Amino acid sequence: MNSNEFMERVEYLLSDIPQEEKADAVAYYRDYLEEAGENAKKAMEDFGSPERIASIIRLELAGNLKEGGEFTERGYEDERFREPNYQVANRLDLPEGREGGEEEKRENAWQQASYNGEKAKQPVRTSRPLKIILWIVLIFVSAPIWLGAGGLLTGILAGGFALLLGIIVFLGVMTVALLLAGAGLCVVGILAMVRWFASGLLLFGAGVVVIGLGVLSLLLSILFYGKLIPWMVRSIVNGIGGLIYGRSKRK
Amino acid sequence: MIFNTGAALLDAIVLAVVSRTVKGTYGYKITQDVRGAIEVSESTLYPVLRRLLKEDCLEVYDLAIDGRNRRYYRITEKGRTQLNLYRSEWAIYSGKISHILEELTDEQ
Repeated sequence: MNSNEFMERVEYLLSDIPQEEKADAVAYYRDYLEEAGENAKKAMEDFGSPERIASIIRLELAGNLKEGGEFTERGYEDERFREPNYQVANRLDLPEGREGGEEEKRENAWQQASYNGEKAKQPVRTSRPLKIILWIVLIFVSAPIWLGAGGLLTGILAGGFALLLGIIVFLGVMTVALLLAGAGLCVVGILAMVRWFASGLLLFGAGVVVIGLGVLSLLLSILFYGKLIPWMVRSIVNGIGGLIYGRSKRK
Repeated sequence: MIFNTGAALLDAIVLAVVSRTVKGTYGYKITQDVRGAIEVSESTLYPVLRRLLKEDCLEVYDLAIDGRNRRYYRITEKGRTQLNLYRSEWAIYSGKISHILEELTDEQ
């Protein structure tokens, strides 16, 4: 980068400051490099970068230089103008100089901080109501997708659900019907025995068999309603719950 | 140099450098002269000169040299007053520091 390119870059970086201020500052540094002549390259190295010069001018305009910078034995120093690769010579004449520069200490401190931070691992802030609301929103928003592409799946699920509902109703009705029918047959059989003993006995026997079937059905119902359905409901609830709180519970 | 140079001392040095010529002097030369006394970066002095201009301690004028304008800085009356203040303050301060740093074994 020659001095002209350097100053053009500075000028570009200062595009937004008042014209007069910019012209003044740019003229100063441009003249400086011209006066430097052969030493212009060294002067530019000392300048650092166009960005650094631009920020010096900008901060001076804003009146920030009074507090920010400091004139030290190494010249003018301001943290803000220090570039990442801006080297500061270690002061070997002082005790702290031997233990690595400030830069290194700061880096160590930073590493320490980040290590501690990782160790502490702050829990991610979540909120259950918010999650549920987001899920509902997601379900509604994604409705076209799962209604379309997932139509078949929805159909299968609905069919399965209908079948289940059918079984539930059928089992209950069958049990009641068998018990009622058995009881009825028994009553009719006893009444019939008065006139036609053999036929009545047959009817009574059939009634007992039907009642037996009814009891069997009742036991099946108890098993089905009492165990299977609660289990299914629990599974479904857990499945949905897992979908919502999945991540937090997996821990 | 291991001693810090405060903003006031830098102002004093710059004023002293500029006051040495009646005609005044220009940015590059001021920087080189100041660098003769203390270590400052080449980019340092623009904000300082600007501040001194704003405080009316310096004034500028343009002079055509080799077909282009060179901006000259010249000390004003106010600047000279300020410089004299700095000089007397520095004399007291540096005298005290020198005195205390001198190796005096018996203080009678």
